[in-house]
Amino acid sequence: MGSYEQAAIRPHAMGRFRDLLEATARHPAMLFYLDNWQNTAPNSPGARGRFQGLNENYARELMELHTLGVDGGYTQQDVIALAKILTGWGFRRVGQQAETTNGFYFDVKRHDFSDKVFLGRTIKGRGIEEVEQALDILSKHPSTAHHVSYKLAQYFVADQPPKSLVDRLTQRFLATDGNIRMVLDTLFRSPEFWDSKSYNAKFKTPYQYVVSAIRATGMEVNNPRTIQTTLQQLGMPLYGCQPPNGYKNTQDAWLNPDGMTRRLSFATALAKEMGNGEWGMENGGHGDAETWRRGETSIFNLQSSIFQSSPPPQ
Amino acid sequence: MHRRRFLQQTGLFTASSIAAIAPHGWVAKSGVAQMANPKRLIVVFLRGAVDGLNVVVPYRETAYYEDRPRIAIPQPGQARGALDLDGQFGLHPALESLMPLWKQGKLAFVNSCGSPDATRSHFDAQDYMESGTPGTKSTQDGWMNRLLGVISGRNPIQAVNIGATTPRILVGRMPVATLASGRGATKQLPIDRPPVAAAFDKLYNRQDQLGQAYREGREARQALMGDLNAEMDMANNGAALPTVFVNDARRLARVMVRDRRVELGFLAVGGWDTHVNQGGSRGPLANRLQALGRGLAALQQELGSTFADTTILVMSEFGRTVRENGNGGTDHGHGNVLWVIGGNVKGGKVYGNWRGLATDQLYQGRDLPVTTDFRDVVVSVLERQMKLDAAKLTQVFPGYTPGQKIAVV
Repeated sequence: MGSYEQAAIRPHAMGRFRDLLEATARHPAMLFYLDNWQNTAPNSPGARGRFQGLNENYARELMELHTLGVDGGYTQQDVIALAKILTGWGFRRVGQQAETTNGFYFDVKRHDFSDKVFLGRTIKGRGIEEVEQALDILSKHPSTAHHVSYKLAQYFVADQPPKSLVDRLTQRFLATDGNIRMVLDTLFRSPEFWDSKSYNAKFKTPYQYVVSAIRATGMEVNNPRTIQTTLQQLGMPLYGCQPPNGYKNTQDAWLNPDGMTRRLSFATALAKEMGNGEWGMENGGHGDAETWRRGETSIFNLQSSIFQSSPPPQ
Repeated sequence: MHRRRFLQQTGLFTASSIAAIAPHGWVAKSGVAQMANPKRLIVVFLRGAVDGLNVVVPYRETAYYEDRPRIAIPQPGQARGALDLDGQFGLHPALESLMPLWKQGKLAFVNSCGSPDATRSHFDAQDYMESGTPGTKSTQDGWMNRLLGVISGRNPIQAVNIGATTPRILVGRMPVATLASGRGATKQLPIDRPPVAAAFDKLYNRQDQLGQAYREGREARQALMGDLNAEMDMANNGAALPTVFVNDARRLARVMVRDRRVELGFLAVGGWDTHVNQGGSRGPLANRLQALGRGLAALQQELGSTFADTTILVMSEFGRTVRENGNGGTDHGHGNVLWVIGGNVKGGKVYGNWRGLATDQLYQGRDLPVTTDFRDVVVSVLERQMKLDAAKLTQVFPGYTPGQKIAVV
């Protein structure tokens, strides 16, 4: 998972959406997680053992979650067509030569070479290039532009982002061939982003909360495991999201009584550790009265770090 | 008394704040809930896939003894044999502490039960059983949280989870209270210290969503810690209990008895993934079952008169292979046995469609088939005991039409 984030996501987060999509499609973590490594054309020369037939999982999520969106205008026939296009995309196993250093491997013997009709377009059966053509179609699709724009606006502005903003970002996405940096440029200059209603409108996810609080203290983190434990208790273990949709960034997912109790316990432990200048040594322990008195004072010194949401206007 | 004082201190019971939180409704409704006898549901999840064929032993099947030469439980009447249930099935002798419940008709089993999804991955199978939507990974919430959403009222300790992390089955938009497992339960959090609490009370005294969540969290914590302080006093007098699970079960029961607002409870017990040397009537699995049985018996005893309105479901993600493997253990299978305990249970009976252990009756020639969807059992409890109508049941298990009525309560 670390490799997926470092090699597939981060280099392209500010680049072209098409490149980001390509990097995720070729990463073994994605091909394994969404089962495409087993996706095999039935009766192909390589069909044997656990590689017996089509697996639609990645094909479906590629459209539903990564590009078009659930109401983006595709049918079950498109899911099957895309699954056929993706047959043979996997990673190197014992005895196979990888195409790239990350382990990606296209098993031509398990590929479906028939012609496919995908989203109304004919894709000739010719091997690995079929996926490139399909990714081109998906990344230029207006539904993808809207879906990605909505997600960006929801992340940076409001849980229910203004339609006017989403529409403008969608136009920008289409006009720049999915240039994420340009779309964000439009977002950060938009009146909706600067509207006073957008101040304090987002509730931090546990990850944002914990990381921003520790950063605000300027403390050294000696034992990252304590952060992982905290995130786990807050319901957001690192790389541990169970459904393929990913963690939500909306308030309804994270603001609840148990979460508040845990956040404040974390904040208090953090404030108490401030005197030590480092965190992870005795998180959650019970100090003497003097430590507690200092901790109590620190809570208020630490107000800036324990804000639950985006900063208030200055 | 503590709760009343706390509520007064935080201003929750002043006229203005009642108006402010009225849309959330729980203060008003929890008052009503005090009038009727609330129905309670406890789910005990055995993580790791317990070997159900050695829990409820099909001792009439010769295939059982042929397939399990080293780990089979002998027939009733033999040395360390199974405890006869109904002339066809017998209970693992380590579960002796549950026999009184069986004889009183408060314990039932559903055989060949489980999730219809074929996965043999612990992770996926648990995920499906907890989301309540087998085969669909994108479901965000768990079925017990959706259940919270459809039973009446809303209060911060309506569901209590024992453990460090809110489990998948309870994840969702409704609030869930958490109590640490084992000795951690009595450990104070920083927020339990009065000066710290007072500081945060000041910081979150507004009538907004943050303040509301904060007060509900504090109230839940207060209610749960009140019980624990009482327990610590008791523990000082009595001897230490044998296992973590027994302690956790007692603690959950005590919280439920003391506070009628607690309607759902969840406990998870691990360590059932017995691939190697699981043993037979004695051994590692027997030891685990013994602790589990004692914990369940303790749960029933501690619930006292509340047991009459409580149903306890014991489930596991899938069963294990009929045949023992080369290491004296069993591998990942499919169908399993689901346990139902409760005051309204029509017990003393093994339910389910049992097809025997002949190879052609087994799933893929090796595992018990799933002839009863686990949701059929849950639905019958929700329908008959908690009086949920069809529309509400659909909200708990979206897209699912119960296949058969299992009249277990």
